Amino acid sequence: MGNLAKLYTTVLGAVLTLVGILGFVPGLAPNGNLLGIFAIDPLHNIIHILSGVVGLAVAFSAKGAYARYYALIFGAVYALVTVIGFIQGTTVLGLIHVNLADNILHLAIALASLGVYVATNPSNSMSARAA
Amino acid sequence: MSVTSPTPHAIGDTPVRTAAQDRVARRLILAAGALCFVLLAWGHLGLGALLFPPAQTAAQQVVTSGPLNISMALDSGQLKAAGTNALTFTITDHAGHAIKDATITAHPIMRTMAMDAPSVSATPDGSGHYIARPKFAMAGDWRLDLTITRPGQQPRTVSFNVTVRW
Repeated sequence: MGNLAKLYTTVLGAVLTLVGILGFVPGLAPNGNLLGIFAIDPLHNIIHILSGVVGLAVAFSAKGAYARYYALIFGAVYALVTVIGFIQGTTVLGLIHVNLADNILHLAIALASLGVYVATNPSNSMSARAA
Repeated sequence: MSVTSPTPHAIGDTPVRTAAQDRVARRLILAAGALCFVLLAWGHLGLGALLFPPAQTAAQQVVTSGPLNISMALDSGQLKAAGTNALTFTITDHAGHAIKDATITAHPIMRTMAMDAPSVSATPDGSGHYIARPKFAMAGDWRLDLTITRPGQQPRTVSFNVTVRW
């Protein structure tokens, strides 16, 4: 199951890094919307690149021994980002946050990351050594 | 045969890691996650604008669009987030004559992130002045897009850059 965490971290790290870099390509982000769907800005891109690079570093360091921990921490971070994103879109002032697609994507990342963390719990492993 | 968990950790084909290395690695990952969240809070939650308020908005700005001069004045002083703001727009032609038949809609858009606020209509006072009361959810750099419509003419859009403080 440890391989699942490492695989997930590798894929997520690569995707986040790529998304962050592509966000800086004007032709791919017309009017600030990556692929016309996801609202991004320079700060968003930096956060994506940072979390992606850290993921790749974790996946390829110590044979991915810390991949599960990465999934926990960044699952929590993206969960918090999701909550804040939805709150910002429903204030009593009725402000409109046009970033619903981003909120859904962040929610998916949070659920997947935390799911990987739970699924790769060593105590659930069939290969756990008996005492 | 009992198997104890050795320190350093060495299970299967994983490399040997000391407890200290474990702590450093976990703290680095935690720090990276915290940094990501701080960056988010700094820009998207207005923490940066709270600690380092943006420069004050100019009390009066003037833009030109075709035959029209449009000026914006801050009636309520520096714009505030979640507060009451009042702006007066004055429209004249190049000869200085007041334009009294325009309909103005102001649409606030945040310049640093994908966020906008509800459009507000400016109320005319009959003498070429139009008063708008926009609301902003957070501090930072915003842009006011004005749509100016006059009878029988194509709508015009002009923009004013403003800053909002907490």
